[in-house]
Parts: sequence; structure tokens; C-alpha cells
Amino acid sequence: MNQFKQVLKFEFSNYARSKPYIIITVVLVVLIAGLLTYPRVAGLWRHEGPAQPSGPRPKLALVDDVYKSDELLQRLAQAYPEDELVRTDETMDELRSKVVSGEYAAAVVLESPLKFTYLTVSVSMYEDPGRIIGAILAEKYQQTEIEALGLSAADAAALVHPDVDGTVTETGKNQAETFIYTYILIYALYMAIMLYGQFVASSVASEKSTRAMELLITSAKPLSLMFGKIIGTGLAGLLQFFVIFGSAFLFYNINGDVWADSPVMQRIFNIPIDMLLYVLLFFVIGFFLYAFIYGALGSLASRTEDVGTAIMPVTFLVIIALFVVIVGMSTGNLDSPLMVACSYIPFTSPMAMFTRIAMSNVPPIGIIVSVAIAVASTVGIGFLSAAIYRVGVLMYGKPPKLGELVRTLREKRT
Amino acid sequence: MRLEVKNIHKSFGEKHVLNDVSFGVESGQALGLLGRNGAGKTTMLRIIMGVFDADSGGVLVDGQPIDRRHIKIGYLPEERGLYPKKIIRDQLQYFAALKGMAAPEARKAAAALLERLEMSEYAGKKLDVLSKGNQQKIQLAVALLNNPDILILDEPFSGLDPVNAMILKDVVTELIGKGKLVLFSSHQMNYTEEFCRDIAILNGGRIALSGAIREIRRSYERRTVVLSSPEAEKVERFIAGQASDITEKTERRQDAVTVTLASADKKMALLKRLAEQELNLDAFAVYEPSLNDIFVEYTEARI
Repeated sequence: MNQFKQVLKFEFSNYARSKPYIIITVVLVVLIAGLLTYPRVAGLWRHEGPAQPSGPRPKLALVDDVYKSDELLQRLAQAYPEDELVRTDETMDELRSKVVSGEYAAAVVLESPLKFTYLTVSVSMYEDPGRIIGAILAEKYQQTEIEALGLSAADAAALVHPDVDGTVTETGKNQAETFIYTYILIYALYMAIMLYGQFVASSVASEKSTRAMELLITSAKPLSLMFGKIIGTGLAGLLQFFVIFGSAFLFYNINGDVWADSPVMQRIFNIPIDMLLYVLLFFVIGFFLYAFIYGALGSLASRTEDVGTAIMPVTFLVIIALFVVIVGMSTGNLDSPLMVACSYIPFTSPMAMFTRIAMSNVPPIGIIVSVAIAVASTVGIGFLSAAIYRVGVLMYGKPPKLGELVRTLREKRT
Repeated sequence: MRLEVKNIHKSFGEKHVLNDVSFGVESGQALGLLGRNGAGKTTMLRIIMGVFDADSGGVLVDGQPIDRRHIKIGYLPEERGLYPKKIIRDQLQYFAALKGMAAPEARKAAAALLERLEMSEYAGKKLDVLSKGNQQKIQLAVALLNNPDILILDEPFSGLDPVNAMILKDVVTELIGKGKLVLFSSHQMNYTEEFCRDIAILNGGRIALSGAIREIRRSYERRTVVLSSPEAEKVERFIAGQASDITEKTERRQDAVTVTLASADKKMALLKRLAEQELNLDAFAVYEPSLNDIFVEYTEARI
């Protein structure tokens, strides 16, 4: 037990005292603090400084020979609040040259009630001028036609824009609300398993390649060495995540008032406490499950250069798990047979089950079964990995084939 | 304390690595465990340290199976192994802690050893900035940290310059003097001869020869003599011609002539005849096989 504690302490302080670990953590915390505090600081400048004219607004030209009314201009102004609306009678060629020269940001030419041309240099990914202007024109058209049938303008408007009073009641979870934080947590889980799992593998392999293993194995029990390393690494990972996520929450709360009207930020930070506990639980399970495998594979590589190839299959497994979950999340179908199956398979369940808990409705028994399977497999894999580790750490040269390994392990038993 | 290895057998898969290996050594003595590469030395040492279990046979201390919780073992592995990127002081304390020492005790032992090995100035440095010889001394310090009862030195002198080798030699001699039991594995026979009263030569997983070096030497018939002379050629011709009745074989290598006599008691007869001829002799001595010769003789043919 004492050996295990010593190894754990040594491995943990290896990380906690290493420059890259400290630098990455500090940089991330500073970055988070900066991002979350930025609007407040930017706001201070804006309030204290004299009101600056915010430069000329981009011009949106409108050629309207159909309605010739101000109403259309106003509607467009509402749709494009940033722009300055300009009515003009210029020809297409003139408009084109002004758009090219940048005098107009864009121009709308109405050719008939239901036909228009939108001129601009390029349309960004997030704009859809065809749809926005099309909707405005369609509405205007409906209203004009209904008015032509003899109704008053107000009645026509009411017909086109009836007031509908609806309430949406969800019995389950609102995927829109949970999507962002689940996404962030899933990526955090993925990064943690991948990064720290690989740290374990390369750390074991480097102890082999520097032959420090020769002394370690004669000074301590293989079980203490392996478990001490894995738990020490896991704690270092957890500490880093606590610091990063903790600082995010801290700075969000300090600047709470600035973010009060940002629905996205509120969705991110509005994580229920039970979700945080679940993510912790699944981090612990997922990390250990994979860290055991990574540790065993690391012990089979004689040089650190071989680690990459040795751990590739496992890395693929983690990537597949992430992929399945992300597809499930983006299609919104979290209870598809694939997702359900994945949430019980130990290699994918930490991520898949967590996503389903966060975004769908999983009965408690499902959670218990999934966690039980994962924990039992982790224990089993832990013992198997320890057996491989015991043999692997003293094997040099070419990594053994699977068959040889099984044979050696069986001999150990007898 | 007497350490005894009894009838050890060990196989890895199909390969029979150790075959009925037995030897023994007492406190205050060093045993040279010799053998060519792959003879099974490291496996034998690992069995003593408890890294592997033997298939059959046992490691005994004073007749009882070894209890590694009470018998402390220090190990200097052939493949030097420490953390190259770690501070030396930290590594020493880590290994001391793994061996069950409390922190203050570990600190004291590490400082004392670094002092003894003249390495104190490097305590705060990373291992990989040190020269090879100095890294070796740190390695030795790790082996000695827990004040071991049994010290296992696997090729301790490789890569050391003569001054560092001398320091190490003094340390090892001092340890033997203090009553430590030393297992010494090396290819450098001159060092083995200096420290070890006994040797055990492993060849192909079997003990090819074991016992006290002096007795092994004595067991060789003393019927080979080495003559050195400025006129070695003339000496050789004379022995091959006029002394062939009392000699079996004559060989010359530059100024030295090696003569195998028909029997050990013909030594004086040969000397007399040489004296009668008034041949110019620098030396006339009975040949004693060096440990090197013995080693080669017993391990040349691999079983």
C-alpha cells in the first residue's frame, strides 16, 4: 500500500510540477477569464469614452417601381437594422458598378410584385437574402391582394399575420437547452480519456526504454506501479479539469450581469449539478477503463516510438465512440438502437450514456445497469492489464503477437 | 548470513533458461557470477530479487526460504535505468521511498551516499546532464540507498574511467569489509578476481564451474611453464630438439615460450638443461591460468 502511495505521489507530482502542464492550465484559465470578462471591459470603454460615430453604415439600395411605397422600405429597414436604406432609380448597370465599388453594400431591384434581384459582392454563409427579402415581398403581395378583394389594410394585416398563442410543454428534456453543454462536456470527456490515456501509455513505455523499469520492478510490486501511475495520472487530469471548469464558472458568475441577456452563455453555464456529477462519474469510469488498456499496451512497447502504433486500435475505439455520440446528438435521435446499444457497451457507454442522460430520458435502472457493466468491465480489464503489464515490462524487442501474449499469460497462471 | 541458490529451474515458454542452478555465498564475501551474454545471469539475479518465480528450486537465506520483507537487496542493473529528465535528489528519494524508507531517512541516506561518491554537487541536477561515469555512480547510489544486506552488481564497471573505477572499487571493497554479501556479475575478469573469492560460471543455463578461484587454479596441473627470453627463438629450437623427451608441446609468441611438460616434476630438469646451455633467460615461471582463460575454457563451447 505504501509503495502504491509513493508511486501515486511521484506520478501525480510529475504532472503537477511539469512546465507544460502548468503552462497549459494557466493559459487556458487566463483565456477563459479573458473571454468571460471581455464584454465588461469593452463595455467600460464604450460607456466612459465620448459617443463615437460608429462609421458610415453600409448602404442598401432599393429600386421599387412596383409599389413605390415607404412601407416596403420600412420592412426592409426592420430586416436589415444595421443598414442604411436608400431609395434610388438607378439602372442595373449603375447599381452594379456601385456595388462593385463598395458604395452600396447591396441593392434590391423589384421587377414585379413577385420578382426581385439582389445584387451584392458576395453572400456570407450566415445570410440568406433570398429568403428574407422573398418573405417580405410575399407578405406584401398577400396583403395587397387581400386588400384588393375589399378588406381594410388592418384586416388584411391581421389575416396575413394572425396572432397565434401557443405554449410548448415538454415532458422530457429540451434538447436545445442541453445541447451546448452536453457537447462541451462530451468533448471534455473525449479529450480527457484520449490525452491522459496516452500519457499513461507513453509514460510506461518511456520507463521501459530508459530502463528505469529495471529498478522499479525490483523495488516495487507491478500492481503498485501500474495502479499508482494510472491513478496519479487520473488525479492530475481531474485537477486540471477542475481548475479549468472551475475558473470558467467563477468568471461567469463574477460577470453574471454582463451575460444576463446572452441565451447561449446561459445555456452553457446552466448545467444542473447532477449533470456535473454524472460527467465526473463517467470521466472516472471512462478514464480508468481506457487507462488500463493504454497502460497494458504501453508496457508492450519497448520504445516510446512504438507507443503510437501499439495504442492505435484503442484510440480508434475512442474516436468511434465520440463519432457515434456526435451523430446521435446532431440528428437528435438519442434513443436510436445504435445509441442505446452503445450506452451499454463499456467502451462507448461513458460517452453515449452520459449524452442520453443529458439530452434524453433514461430510466434510472438503465443508468444503473450501464454503470454496473462499465464498472465490472473496468475491474476485469484492470486485472487483465495488470497481468499483461507484469509480463510486458520485462519484455524487450519486438512487441509480442497476441497469441504469444495469451500463451505467456496462461503459463503465469499455472 | 549465507545466501544459497538451490537447484533452480526456469523456463520461458519453450526455452529452458536455467537448468539446475545452485551456488552459495556468505556475508562479507563476493561471488562472481560469470557467463556469456544470454547465459541466464540476469534471469538468475531476477529470481533472487523476486521479480520472477523459479519453476522449481529455491533461494535460501541461512537455510530458510528468503523473506524479502526483511532481507534488503540493492541492485545495480546491467542496463542502467533511471529517469533521465528528473532531478537526481528526487529520484534517489523516490527509490528510497519505494523501498520503504521514511522521507527524512531517505534524504539523509541519499545525501550521505552522494557525499561518499563525490557527487554532492550534482544533487540538484537532472540525470541526463551528467557524464556516463557519473550517471553510473548515481546508479550505484540508488543500489546502496537502503543499506542492503545483499548487493547485486550487474556489470558495475562498464563505462567507467580508471579514476571512477577506482572510487567504485574502493566502495565495493569497503562494503564487503563491512560484511555485505555481494553478487557480482561482470565480463571484466580482473575486477572479478579482485573482489571475489568464489565464482560460479553459467553456461547455457547450467553451472559449468563453481568454487573458490584459488582452488580452481590449483586444480590445474602445474606442468606448463612460461619462459621469456631475448633469444626466444633459440630457446624454442633447443627445447623442441634436445628436451623433447620431457616436454609435450612448445609454443612461442614473440619473446615468450610456453612449454607443456610431460609431467609437473620435469620442471627442474628442464631448467637445468636450459642452464647448461647458458641460454639467456629473463624469466621462468609456472603458468597459472588467468580467470579469463578459465572463463573462456568453460564457456567457449555453448551447451
